[in-house]
Amino acid sequence: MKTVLRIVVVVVLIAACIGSESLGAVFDGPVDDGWHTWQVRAADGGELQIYVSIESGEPVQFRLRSNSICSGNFDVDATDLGFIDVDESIDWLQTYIEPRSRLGSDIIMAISLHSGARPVVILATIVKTQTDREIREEALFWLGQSDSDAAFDVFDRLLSGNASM
Amino acid sequence: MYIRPKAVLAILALLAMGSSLAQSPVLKVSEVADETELLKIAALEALMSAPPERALPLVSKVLSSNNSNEVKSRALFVLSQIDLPEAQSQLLEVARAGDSELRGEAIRMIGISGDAEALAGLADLYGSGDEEVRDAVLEAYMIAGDDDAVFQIAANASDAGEFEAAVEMLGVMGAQDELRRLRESSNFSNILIEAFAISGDFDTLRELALDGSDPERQARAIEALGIVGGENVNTTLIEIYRSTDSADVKESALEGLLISGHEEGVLELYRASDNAREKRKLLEILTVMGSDLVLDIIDAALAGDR
Repeated sequence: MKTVLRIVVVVVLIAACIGSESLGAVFDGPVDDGWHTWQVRAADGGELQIYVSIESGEPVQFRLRSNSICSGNFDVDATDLGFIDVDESIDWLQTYIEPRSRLGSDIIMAISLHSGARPVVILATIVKTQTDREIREEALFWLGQSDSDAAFDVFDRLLSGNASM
Repeated sequence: MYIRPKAVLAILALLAMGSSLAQSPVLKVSEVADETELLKIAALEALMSAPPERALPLVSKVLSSNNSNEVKSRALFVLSQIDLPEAQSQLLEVARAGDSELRGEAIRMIGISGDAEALAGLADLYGSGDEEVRDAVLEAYMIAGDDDAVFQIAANASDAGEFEAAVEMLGVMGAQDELRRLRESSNFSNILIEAFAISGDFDTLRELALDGSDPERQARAIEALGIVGGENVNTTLIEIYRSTDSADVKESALEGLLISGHEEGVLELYRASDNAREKRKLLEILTVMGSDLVLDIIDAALAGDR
């Protein structure tokens, strides 16, 4: 009986793994030089395909494609990393938002196109904490594209002169 | 050398004051205020691409709150981009009763929005407004490309200043048909000639330039042709110069050629002339034009001497 139960548990776990979007693997992001691509659930209900070019372990170029956006040329030979969990994709992207990075705008756009409530939270945090004006303005632009109450709450507080946001 | 201790102390005090001013908390507060303003402006700009029904209440709030005119001006621009009747009503409201600086801005924003109903509302505002409001209304009509509204203002102008402002605007707008209609009215004035020139109306100016019934008007029209410029103008100015015996008309034609920069035409007239005084005048014009053709004339003269 115990053996049967074990088999059932194992089968259930395997099924869960197969059913999960990232197949249970932790997404560390692309490391090897060259183009990489992955897909996530997009804010517009479809899929967002992210292309990133890595050089010396750092992202140097982004291209994005979804139902609502198509930025750049996609005729590149990219390693397909498959369908990735939204949070994991955002986590990786978020590490590259820095004023020093000329990719800041691309990354903010990429994050904002992910599905769920997290992009708005991140964009609001950028507006509140970033010192780089361009990055903040970019975050504000994408907040304006969101139809969520949380995004407009950020605008309301900001325009009401609430410094603490 | 005698050093005065009081002077040294004063200099040290000034230096100390300078450094404390540089670190003044007041300065920091103003910097923060600037940053906050810039962020507000960025937020307003971001709202332009947001859903209009979401953006409108926020923009309205900015206008009714204690914000600087710079922030409010930006809010007015965003309002002009919101495609909702309420947005246009609010613009008109500010145009009617806002702070004087914002009134002008709101009026211009109505021009930018191009909303027919709001533009129609500007007519009343023009009638009751001061010069600043009137100028802003004319600008709004220009921005919206509403030739007829400006024509109506010119046609119904109660004084010369009002007429001139509207006619100038029609010239800037290139509203040749409206300017021609005004020419037929009794309000004809020299400002119309300038407006014809600015609007590039060669045909009307040529007609006026060839009409010798009013010498002063003719002279103005000939000179104004120079502003229009181009091959047709150059040919006409040379024709006028050659065909007249009037010194004034010749003078105007030369002014026109000077304005249009038709060096070859002046050189042609120079070569064709056998009158020393006339030649000198034409040479002067070429010199004023900064033309290298003067050198050709000098070379020819020297060759002739030889």
